[in-house]
Amino acid sequence: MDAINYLEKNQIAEIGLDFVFSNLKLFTPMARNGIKKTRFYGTENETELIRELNNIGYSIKNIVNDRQLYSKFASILTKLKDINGSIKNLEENRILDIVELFELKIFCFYVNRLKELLDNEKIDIDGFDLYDLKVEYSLLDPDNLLLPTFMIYDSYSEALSEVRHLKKSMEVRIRSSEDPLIYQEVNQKRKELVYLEETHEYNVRKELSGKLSKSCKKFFYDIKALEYLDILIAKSKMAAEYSCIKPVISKGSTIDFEDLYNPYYAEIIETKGNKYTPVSISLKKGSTILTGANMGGKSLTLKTIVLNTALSQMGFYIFAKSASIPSLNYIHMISEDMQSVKRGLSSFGAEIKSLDKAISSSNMSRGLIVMDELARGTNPSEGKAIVSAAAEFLNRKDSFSIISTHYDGINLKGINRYKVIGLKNIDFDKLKSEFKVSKAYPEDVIQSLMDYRLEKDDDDEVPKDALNICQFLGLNEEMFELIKNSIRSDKLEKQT
Amino acid sequence: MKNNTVSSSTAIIGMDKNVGKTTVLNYLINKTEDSVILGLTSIGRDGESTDRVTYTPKPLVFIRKETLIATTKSCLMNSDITKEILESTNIRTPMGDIIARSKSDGYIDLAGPSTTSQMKAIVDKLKIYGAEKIFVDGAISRMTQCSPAIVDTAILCTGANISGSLKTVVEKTSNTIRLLTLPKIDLPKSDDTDPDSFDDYNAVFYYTDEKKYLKCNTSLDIVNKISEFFDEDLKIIEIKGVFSSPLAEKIIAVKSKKHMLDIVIEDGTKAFIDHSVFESLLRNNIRLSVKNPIDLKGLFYNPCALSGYRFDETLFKHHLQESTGYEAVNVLGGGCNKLS
Repeated sequence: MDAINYLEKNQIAEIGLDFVFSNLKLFTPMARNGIKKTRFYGTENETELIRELNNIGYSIKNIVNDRQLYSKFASILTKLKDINGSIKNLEENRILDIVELFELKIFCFYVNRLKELLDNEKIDIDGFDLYDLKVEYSLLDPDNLLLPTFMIYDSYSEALSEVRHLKKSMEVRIRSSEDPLIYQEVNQKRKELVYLEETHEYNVRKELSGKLSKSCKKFFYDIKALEYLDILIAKSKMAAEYSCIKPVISKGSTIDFEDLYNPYYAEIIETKGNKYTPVSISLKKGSTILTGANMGGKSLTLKTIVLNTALSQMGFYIFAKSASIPSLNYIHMISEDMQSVKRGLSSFGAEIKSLDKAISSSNMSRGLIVMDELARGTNPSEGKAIVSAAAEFLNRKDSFSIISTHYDGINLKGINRYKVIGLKNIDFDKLKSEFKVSKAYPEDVIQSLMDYRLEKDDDDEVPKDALNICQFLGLNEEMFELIKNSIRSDKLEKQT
Repeated sequence: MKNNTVSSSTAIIGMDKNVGKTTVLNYLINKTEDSVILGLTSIGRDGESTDRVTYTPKPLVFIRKETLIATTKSCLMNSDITKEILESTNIRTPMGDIIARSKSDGYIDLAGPSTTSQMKAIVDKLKIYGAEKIFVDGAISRMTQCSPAIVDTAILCTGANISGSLKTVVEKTSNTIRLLTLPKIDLPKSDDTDPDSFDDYNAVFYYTDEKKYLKCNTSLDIVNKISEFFDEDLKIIEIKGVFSSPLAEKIIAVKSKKHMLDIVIEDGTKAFIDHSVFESLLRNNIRLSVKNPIDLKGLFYNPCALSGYRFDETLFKHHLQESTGYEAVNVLGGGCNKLS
């Protein structure tokens, strides 16, 4: 999978989009190829995006939910091979070989069956159509045998039929000949007839190819249509299996997600026996700051937002209870997973380069910009300045930006703030005494107590759960006291 | 796991190049009644008019009308039968196979899949298309594709081309037959203690009251680790995959001579040990057997070698029959020149 609208290859894997793609049950090689070219519809193609989402709804209701019908579609689609190469050969006036003609015939056969199925079941998908290939099929089945096989039939050419007849008589003689000399002689004659047969077959193939080449456009159109149909049904099937919902493509200036989840991480977390918590969030145009405890799942929340936003923009149902989102042109994600970081560019350098790119995109059109702990590796005072500036700058733009951070006091006017509920409702002293009698790992206890949900945040301070977690995980006591003292003296300094 | 009880399948296994395998195939095709629908395929390539390795003229396979063949596209194009295409798979890869029906008699060029699972799939497909009798053109070097998991019976072809020494050819042939026709043994019934994925293990050790499992990355690894499993109570070793000479020698080395031991392999195609090692196993009270025996139906020989020498026909036949207990049939039915 190449980059999608600025989402890098490994980000696509990291947010769980690869997982989603690999869960699509695709039947044709065209669709398996085509899915790799999926991109955002973009603000200019909003109507098409809405139509696509409607089509998924239609296909869930009329195809996927009817198990028998779905398996009928599946059994036809699995028979369809990618004949693009052969049609290109026809377009360039090449003569198809017998195997290519066979594949074309099978293609026509099953396209006609599919067309019939669509008509009989009155399936009417908006913007989708399929040419029937009856004329083309009958060229390849001159005797109307309706068999899923192909040969250069005798009925194509009288001359061919005659040669085959002669050849057959030689073959009978070869089988019964005991005398090596006669055998040699008959074999030689047969060889000449084989050559003649091939010549006549060539002429038939040439004529057939010529006739079929008139339908190149139809073939190409149907190949595309089948690719579309296969992907649409697969998207609908997955949506039904995961109880995905149709995102409302809004004209508004907010993105609203209710109970958003990430199937990729949900599966990982649930196989470990833990419970996955969906999150809800509303992003206003401009900047949103996300803060929260360590181990509070901020990165996962961001990945989940990116995954579902991307899906909605590519015409997929999404993993949520409800969602409303306008059409977007791009997603910029600045995170540790960026390729440039892995390529050896320092993470700060990579972040700044990406930030610059995101800023120039935000100047041009509407998108989503996600920054997971921007400037995390920088000294706090400069880091905070960078985050503040980015938040302020992006807050003036038409795009949606969300920045997760550990820095305090980024509380600019009009900037939306969220925080992970985290451990704020937990009584650590009580917990510690309880924990002493249980045998569970402290990390697991924290994970089970952590409230991963988000809440609106009007506080100036970022949550200070790190210290509690340090103590709970059993950090060296002397060390822990030093940290506490250091915080105390910092506060005193600020007060004076 | 036979799809169809009516159809039977036979692998024709050549001990070497130019032992007359194709001639045997032609012979078997001729012997089959016209009314029986044949299915043919090959392990790797065969049937070309020139041998790819030695560039000597080779007899082509001559088939009858209505025979089903599984071969590659390029080989199909080399065949001079009138063709009806039934199925094409992975055409755009070199291993792409086509299943076709001959609509006339003619010469064909056979080539087939090179992995066991692909071979099984092809044989099953030939059955589905109606083949009542299937011949797989096989090779000793790709013996595992001729295992009982894929074909019902086998025919072995040997010949002077293997070695200039008649004694060596006879010895190699009888060793191969002995390995191919190892006796069947029933393993103790499996119980709840079996690991879920038994296929993951390279060897299983059966003691009076327990079983132990060995998992290794390579078969060489088994040789290094196997001694840990030996004690006087060890009754049976079940080896997954190949049973090689180094492994056999290692077992002989770590085992006390009096200790009776059974070694069980999947089938005779997995044994790669030479004559002397086999003898040594017997001397050391080790009995080699298989889970799935191969039904070897016949032995054919070619007394003529490519380079021109030939064995004494009567002597060769006599020694082969003597040492194998199989009736040996001359593939050429006479002189060396008839087919070239």
